[in-house]
Amino acid sequence: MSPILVSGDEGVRIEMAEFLAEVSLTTEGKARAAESVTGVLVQMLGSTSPTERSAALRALCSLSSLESNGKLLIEAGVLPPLMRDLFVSGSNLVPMKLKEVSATILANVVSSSGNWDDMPIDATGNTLTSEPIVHNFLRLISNTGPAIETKLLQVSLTLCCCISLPICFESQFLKAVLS
Amino acid sequence: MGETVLIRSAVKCLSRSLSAEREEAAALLFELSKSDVMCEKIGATNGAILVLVGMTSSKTENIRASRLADLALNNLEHCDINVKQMAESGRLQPLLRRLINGNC
Repeated sequence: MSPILVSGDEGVRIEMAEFLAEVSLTTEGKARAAESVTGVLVQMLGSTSPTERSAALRALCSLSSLESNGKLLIEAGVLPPLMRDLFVSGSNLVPMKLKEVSATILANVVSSSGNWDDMPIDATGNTLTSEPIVHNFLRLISNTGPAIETKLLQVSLTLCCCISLPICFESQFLKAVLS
Repeated sequence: MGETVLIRSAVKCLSRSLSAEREEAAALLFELSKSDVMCEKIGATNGAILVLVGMTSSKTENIRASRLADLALNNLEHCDINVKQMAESGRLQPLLRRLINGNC
């Protein structure tokens, strides 16, 4: 764990992250905020406290709505915790509402110009376009509600546009879209 | 009670057309902001933080007035609720600093 997180009061940090998520920011404000706090927020995603994770996730969601922030978020390592939250099974572990926030961040960052295509997202070195990950996406799309589905379709579409998927993925993808 | 009226008048004076008046008002708010109790009262006064933030970012404001507004805001930061108001008014730094350090 980083020395930053060892010091300081979690309560203050959570409160400020929650507030950052709510306050309406100008484009410049979003850019400035992302530059200074993306690292802390991504570290908060690794916390054992669900309140802390949720606050950080919402704040990151707000910052990710500025396209140029996507690169910063990816470089700070936002992808592995996001994918973990999205793919973990059992809705009691990660509430649907938060999966939706994760999916929104993911949709935002992959549509930015960041180098997500060769960024490892788990311990085994998979990337967003690795076979098992694409399968997981397709499974999630057909297993979740409309709100999260829309976001994941956006992600999948971006993935499809950026890489040439093997034929079998394309057909599975189309099946998921059409169902 | 008397304090509330005083703060409200000072805040009104921050928007006067005469720059000497704005400067005096900012000086008064800066003095008051040295007390934590007053910090809360100033923050709770409509428009106080918004106008002070405006003075610090205005290009036409006289330098001393804008400096005093900045000093007052530095003191007002001690109160969480003020930090939120500052972020809403476009002064994000105090909020970001707290998020990074986890304290005031």
